[in-house]
Amino acid sequence: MKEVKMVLFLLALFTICTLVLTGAQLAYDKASAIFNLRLYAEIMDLYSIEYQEDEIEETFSTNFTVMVLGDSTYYISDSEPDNEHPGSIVFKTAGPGLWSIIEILLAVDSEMESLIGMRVLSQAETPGLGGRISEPDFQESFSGADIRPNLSIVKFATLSNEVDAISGATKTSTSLETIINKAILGLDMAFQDQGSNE
Amino acid sequence: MSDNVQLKTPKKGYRLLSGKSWMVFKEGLWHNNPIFGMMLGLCSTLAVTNLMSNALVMSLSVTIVLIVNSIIISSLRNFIPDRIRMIAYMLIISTLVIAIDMVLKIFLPDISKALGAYVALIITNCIIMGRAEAYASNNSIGISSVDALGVGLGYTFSLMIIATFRELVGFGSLFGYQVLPEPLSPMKIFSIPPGAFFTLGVFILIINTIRGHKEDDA
Repeated sequence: MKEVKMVLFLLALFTICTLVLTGAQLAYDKASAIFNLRLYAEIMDLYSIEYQEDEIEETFSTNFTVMVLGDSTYYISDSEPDNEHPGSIVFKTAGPGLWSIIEILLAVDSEMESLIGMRVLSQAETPGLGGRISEPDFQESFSGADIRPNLSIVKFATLSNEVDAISGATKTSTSLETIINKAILGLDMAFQDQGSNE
Repeated sequence: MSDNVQLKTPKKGYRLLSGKSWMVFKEGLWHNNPIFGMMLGLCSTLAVTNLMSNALVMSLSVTIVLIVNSIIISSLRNFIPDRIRMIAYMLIISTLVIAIDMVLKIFLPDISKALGAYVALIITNCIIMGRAEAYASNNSIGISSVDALGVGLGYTFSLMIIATFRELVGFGSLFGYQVLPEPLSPMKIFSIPPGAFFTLGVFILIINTIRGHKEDDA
């Protein structure tokens, strides 16, 4: 009898918790329209384009063209009105870090030779170690880095395709390197296919 | 008021004019401060105290989870079968934390990003489990929530003083505003976990000296 009561209690508690979380998830999904805007804002911050808080979508669409190739969405920056990097490509990519999925934004110049910038959109790496990939200083070090033949995140960066890793966060740094290089490969393939189709 | 007014002698505390609630509140906030007294939840303390804004959001999240959790568990205390109480606590705590995580992601994206895994890790914060097991599970709703508030604010207060020091010395700023003049270069070590260890240790020493804490001979 006691065991039955225990099982019933747990089942009831499970059900209640699941219902509460389902409700929360629904509310969260509804609110997620906000995430698209946030992505646009993040991209415009990366390009130092100024925008008004309530005109994010408008400003974004005058500066970028959306291009969907396969599963990925690429945003191509227009030459008008005052873009510093016309024809450059910015896109979102993600991959496994040490503990979590790391989501990043990559901006590649029109020649596809170097990075304009990198931004970490979301991660849950070890706070204070791997989590430091979110810090502006680290992200800034990717601006202008060459991606040919590939990008390396190393101790003591010297070459133009090298970026300083975070000490104490070897795994996260290596994962980030893999994510970026994979993304570049994907970008090459997507645009190669597109080129041959034309 | 002397040092011997502690929860060990609840009757004495009960007779004080300020009432039992005040005693319980002060116990969590100061005499049995979670960081400096009970030494619980140190891992997250080391990690999130690099910036004051991170520490504030983290400690307020923990306080909210702590209070709501105490209220729920103390109201269910007569129904939760003894042998599965830990599982029940875990379920309730996880649900609360996931909800808080979502709220932070939507409304405070930057801080949610900076805190990273630590919001989710509130689930395993010993303070919450500790208060549920030690207090909320056998006290009334009212007094449990006062206890949770006291402990939560004690955690907040501890994190904030550590974060104030670390941000000031490590970044030269307070709440992100530069306060130290440029020529003074910040000591980077205080912005990384090793610096947190030193800071925490020194603060534990200072606070426990002020509290007049005496180690038991046992």
